[in-house]
Amino acid sequence: MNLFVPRILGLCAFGILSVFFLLPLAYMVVVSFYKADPMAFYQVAFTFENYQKYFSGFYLNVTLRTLWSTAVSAVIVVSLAFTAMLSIVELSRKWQLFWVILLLSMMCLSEVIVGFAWLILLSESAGIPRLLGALGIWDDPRSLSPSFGAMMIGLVTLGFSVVSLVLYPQIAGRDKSVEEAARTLGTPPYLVPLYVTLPIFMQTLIALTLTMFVYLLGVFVMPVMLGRPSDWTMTVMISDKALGDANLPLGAALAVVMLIITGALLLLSLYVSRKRRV
Amino acid sequence: MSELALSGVGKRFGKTVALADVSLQIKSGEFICLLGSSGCGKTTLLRIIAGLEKCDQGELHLDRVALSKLPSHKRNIGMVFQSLALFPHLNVSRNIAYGLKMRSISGEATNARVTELLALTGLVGFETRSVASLSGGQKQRVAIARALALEPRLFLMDEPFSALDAGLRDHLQQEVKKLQRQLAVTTIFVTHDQSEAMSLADRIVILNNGSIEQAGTPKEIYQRPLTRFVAEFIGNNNLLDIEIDETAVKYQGYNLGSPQGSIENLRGRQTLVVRPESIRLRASHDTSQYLQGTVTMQRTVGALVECDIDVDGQVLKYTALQNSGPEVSIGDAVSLSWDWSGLWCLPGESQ
Repeated sequence: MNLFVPRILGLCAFGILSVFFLLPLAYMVVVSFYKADPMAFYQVAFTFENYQKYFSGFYLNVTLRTLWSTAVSAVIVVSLAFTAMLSIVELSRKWQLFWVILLLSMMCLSEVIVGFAWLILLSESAGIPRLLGALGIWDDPRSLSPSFGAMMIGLVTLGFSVVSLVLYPQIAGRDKSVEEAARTLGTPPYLVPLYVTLPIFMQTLIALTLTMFVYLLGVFVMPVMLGRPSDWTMTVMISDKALGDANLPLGAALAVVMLIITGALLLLSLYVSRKRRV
Repeated sequence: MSELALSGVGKRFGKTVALADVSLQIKSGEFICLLGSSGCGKTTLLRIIAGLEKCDQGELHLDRVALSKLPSHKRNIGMVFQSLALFPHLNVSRNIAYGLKMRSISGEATNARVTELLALTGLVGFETRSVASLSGGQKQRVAIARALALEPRLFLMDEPFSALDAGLRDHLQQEVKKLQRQLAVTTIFVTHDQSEAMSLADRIVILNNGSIEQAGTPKEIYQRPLTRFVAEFIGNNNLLDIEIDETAVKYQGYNLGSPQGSIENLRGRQTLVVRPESIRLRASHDTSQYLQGTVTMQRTVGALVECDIDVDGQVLKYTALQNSGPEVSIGDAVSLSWDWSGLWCLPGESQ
């Protein structure tokens, strides 16, 4: 078999990966050991000062908050998308198509547009609070953003369409006789999704949750637009340090630590999920 | 051991009639095969019995208890699905134990029942194996063991062997029949394969366009088809439009002799059912025989020789054991006759 073409294609892919990912990554690691210089971004040196700052406490708190909020939003995204898709595939073909087109449209919207949409919807003057006030449900309607909840809503909206569209063909094409078999074996219909459908899709859902976790870790616009400064994630902090404060070495060090923590968490999750499967 | 009674069961999917007024009594411990071509309603009927579909009309009684308002999970009906529908996330033992756990049966009793079923279905040693790693036959056994775990009142099988090769299918058919006799569980088996139905069933129910065409023992169905559909569906019978009077049986200008055998007392226009193996063949035109024709197709299928013979535009099927008849080739002129004792006229088509 002629392996020339696959090898060339492989080399091209490796080349692109090296130029656009590995080299900048290596450069970032190197810069993380430099000293900060407000006039020139950094000064060449070798110091652990930036890493010491990370472990000083403030950034550790931000990291924990980031990991927690991102993990929770990833779980919410996958849970919502899974249950929504289970319902949508039961609709007629016409309505299924409607939902798929709607989800594809949502995917086409940029992060900024989604953020603005939620800003308006959660605002006191034109959004949900005003509607709740008009309906008499909320006596003293106030803007719901910026807040932690608003930021979470934004993050979930970003991931929902992607996860839904990944799950749709798998859920639509599943062998429904497995669920029917569970019913004939004594499972009440309302427990079938919990006892049969969910365990069958568990590996897929774990993989999607991890993917969403990584994706949402890097989201910048939603925390800035919809969250309070106390809700900001490490992505915002890194950007703030590197660009706002012109402290590129500290920004790089924060990014390196986040990369290591994320990688370690992903490896741990994969290890646990593989062990469960065995 | 349970008796099932269906009375006037009907089901529509939009404008399509899937089942129309199906009534049937199934005795305790009986092995019934629902036989019919694709889309005839046999799987729909099975799903209605299992509670996976609701019927639009009619009533079902299991041991004189109405099933219509009883949901599927409370019917205690074991079912083997066409796709087998094993739980991919559970191993062999857990698949079999699933129903027992749903009924909150104690761990000890569950283990004992699983061990018993593993032995019964020849799966000892496969307890912890993933179902994905099993062969087709082993998966069938797991599906059967799982469906039987709760000692169901009814055992339903929906074309479970359709995806298997001929050898394995034959082997599993024998195993299922043996198991059914051993457990004496009332069983309904759906198939479109007439030889499978013939070899398994105590009674065959033939469905066509959502209605029962005929129900009877395999021998009755084979020897005494009651409708044109059954006669054509079972055994490739030849249907001859004949006219009988006091002295002769006439077919397309041929005189087939005086009426005899089971048609001796029939008169007028009738449809005569001639089974391919009832035909006797002579390799030449012989006017002393009933009919003359030309061989248009000849093939050997294992121990059998099959021919198509054109008799004045109607193709008749002929089957015989190899070496038991004359050797003929395509294009040969042949004469046909038969023994009247095994022939039969369709009762619904006399005029």
